[in-house]
Amino acid sequence: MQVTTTRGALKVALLAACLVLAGCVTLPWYPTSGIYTSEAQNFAVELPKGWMRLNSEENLLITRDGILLQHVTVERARVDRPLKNTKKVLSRGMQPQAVAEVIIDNFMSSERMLDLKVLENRPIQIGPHRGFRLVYAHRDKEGLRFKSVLHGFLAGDVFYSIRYTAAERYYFAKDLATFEQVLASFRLIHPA
Amino acid sequence: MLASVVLLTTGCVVGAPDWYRRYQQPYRAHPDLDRRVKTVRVLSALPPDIKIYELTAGGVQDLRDDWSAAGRDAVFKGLTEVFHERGIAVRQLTVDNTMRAPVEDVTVLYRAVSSSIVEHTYKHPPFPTKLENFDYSVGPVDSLLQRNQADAVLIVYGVDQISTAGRKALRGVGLVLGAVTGQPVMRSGITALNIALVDRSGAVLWYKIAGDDGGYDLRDPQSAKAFVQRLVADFPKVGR
Amino acid sequence: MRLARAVLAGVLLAGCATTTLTPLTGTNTALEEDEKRLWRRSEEEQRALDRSGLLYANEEAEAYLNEVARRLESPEVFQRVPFRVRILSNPRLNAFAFPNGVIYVHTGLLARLDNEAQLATLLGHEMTHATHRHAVREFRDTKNKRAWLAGVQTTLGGLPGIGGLAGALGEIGATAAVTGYSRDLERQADVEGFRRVVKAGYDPAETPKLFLVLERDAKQEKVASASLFYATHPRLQERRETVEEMIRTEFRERHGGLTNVAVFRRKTSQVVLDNAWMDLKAGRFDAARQGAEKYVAFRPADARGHYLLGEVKRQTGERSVAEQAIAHYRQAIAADRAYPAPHKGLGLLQFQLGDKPQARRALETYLSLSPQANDRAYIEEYIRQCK
Repeated sequence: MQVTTTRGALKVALLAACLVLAGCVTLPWYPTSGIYTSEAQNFAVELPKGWMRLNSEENLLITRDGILLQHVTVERARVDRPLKNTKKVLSRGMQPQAVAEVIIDNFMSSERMLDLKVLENRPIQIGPHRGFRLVYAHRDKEGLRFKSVLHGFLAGDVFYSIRYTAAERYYFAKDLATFEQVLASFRLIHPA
Repeated sequence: MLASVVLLTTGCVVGAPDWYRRYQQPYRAHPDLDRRVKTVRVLSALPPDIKIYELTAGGVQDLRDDWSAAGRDAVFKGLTEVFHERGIAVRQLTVDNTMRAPVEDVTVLYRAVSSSIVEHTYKHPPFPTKLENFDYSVGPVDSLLQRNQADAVLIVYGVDQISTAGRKALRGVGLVLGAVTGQPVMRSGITALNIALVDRSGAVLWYKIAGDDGGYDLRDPQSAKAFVQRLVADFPKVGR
Repeated sequence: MRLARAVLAGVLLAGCATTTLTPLTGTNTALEEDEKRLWRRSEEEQRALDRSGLLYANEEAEAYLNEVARRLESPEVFQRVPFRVRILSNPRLNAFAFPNGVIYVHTGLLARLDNEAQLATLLGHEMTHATHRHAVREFRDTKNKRAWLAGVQTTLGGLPGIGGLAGALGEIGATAAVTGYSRDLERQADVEGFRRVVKAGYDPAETPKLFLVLERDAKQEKVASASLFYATHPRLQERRETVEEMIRTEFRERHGGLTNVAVFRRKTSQVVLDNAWMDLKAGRFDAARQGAEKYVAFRPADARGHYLLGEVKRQTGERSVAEQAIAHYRQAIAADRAYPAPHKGLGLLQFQLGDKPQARRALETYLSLSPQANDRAYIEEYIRQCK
């Protein structure tokens, strides 16, 4: 908590830099720029300038100001992977309405997403795929209200979701247009 | 960013990048601070959220309402006096039924903003983008300014841990044993204050955290004022 | 070093507070300072809980629970501990009491009970935690343990995993709800709570049945409820045996008593239905089916119960129960022809089964009964696929 002097922080920074140079550690965040392609995750998307990307092998997560304030994720999961809060499962060939229902039930059954309200739930087309668009709001246990937009679809055995979540006050509206641009640029590298 | 860190480490650059110089500062400032701060003469202070814990021998924190109330008064008094010396009036916002919802909206978001500021501009590695363009906001705060006819909002919160007799004694034993065994000695508690100056649009113009390892007692007005002085030592000159 | 240890022991012993406290059921009992702080923290936590959106909005059920609580304790004790029972929308089997007497019962637990005597057992147990000041006793005990551990830490130069008990006072609810109390305090709550129940005239034979219900559920959920208060120490079977022993000894002369089944069903049937929906959303199909069947047994003429049973069967995705689902939807439609939901369920199921003409008919009926349906776009898409 001793943050008035930054000498300690500088030492840590220099040590971290040495470790990076020595290949001992990787940085947790990278600045975003241009097209992001993940062969392993089978998607490509254009990321906005001035945001930071979490260095993760799994899903793509970017934020501008901090995860609590706003973030965009692109997630990919095989349909047989259990969901976090519901025992319901997705399956190949499910209709978008049924997929959306399972995803909503998963959120509804979460003890972290308090006071969840689905504001919009409708079918959409995502490239060649039939999918759905959800807009929902919830609160966390600190009382902070979030708003999210989620576009999801099934491509064969894989469920893809592109989601934007931000603090409802100020941040959601601020970066919604940026999210819409990310969304428009999303494509599968090898369509199912 | 990686390239910057590499260059800094290898000493290949004459001057450090701008974000890195800002990273070294104890405070964070909005890029348009100088212009926006010129009109600030009256601050509407949200009631300082001060939590004072009794720290027992086992390191258990016991929140003390009476101490916290005393801390709130002492910190507010300290803020008023220190800012008065700089020609700025501080008026505490009365949070009645009509103000409760707007104040809560702002403070709940502020907690998330503050935590993001700490995470991405104080901790390592920081977001260079946020250091270059420190543009955090809590959304418009007109309703929090109106009642006090103020120009900006002041948000302060903090914690203090006061050791109980048991912990103090244990610390004494720890010092003896630490000297013998070379093991670390338990701390006697921390004091920390966080302050943010927010303009009408909600932009966080100036932000700082100060911490100390047991040297202050926020219940005591003199000690609280001394800590506030330290906190705002590099506060921008306003109302020029 | 020996001297230092002796000094340390002295410091620790001097810091120990007594954990012996007289119950608040007696006269001349006043709250102690740390207890008052626990009560204030509890109020803060309750305010947060009240704002969280987790409260179950059903005034009738809540009023009924409070009425039962009033039968279990005298007005004098109510003045000292202002008991209030609230219901949380949560399908997990749980209930917990804050030290200031505010009790939260999950819909999941309430929905599993069969009568008022079982409800009284549950409330009696929770009220005992408050009257016997279990939170402050546990808190003091924790403080003492921490002090002891801190001493060990200082002496030995640090042990991993022993940090500050951050937010102990901010986690009263979590302590009561998840961690539970020590085995001895839980036993005391069972014993004293049971005595309240019998004193209030309820049938003692119903108390062990509550534990049987919980045991059955724990098995069904494959001890997912191991983290839950009601399945923790002492184990459910042991707790049931404790009250069975009391029936054989202390209450051997008592036979029968109040169960108030009819009023209990009337006041809690909506909870059963709502909770079954929560179970269904969480994919706990067996629990959802049991809840729906229970509701249908209470209110056989209510279309909503039959519709829910149809949904449970349809959403399992098993073709073997499709006929049953169709039968339930048809029962729901027969009970209330203007009720749109079973038409949708029927349509979706028939779409799944490949019977597109029937699916289309049912889905069109759904939209005609519910022209403003917020899933209209989806349903129209299904209808297009049926053409």
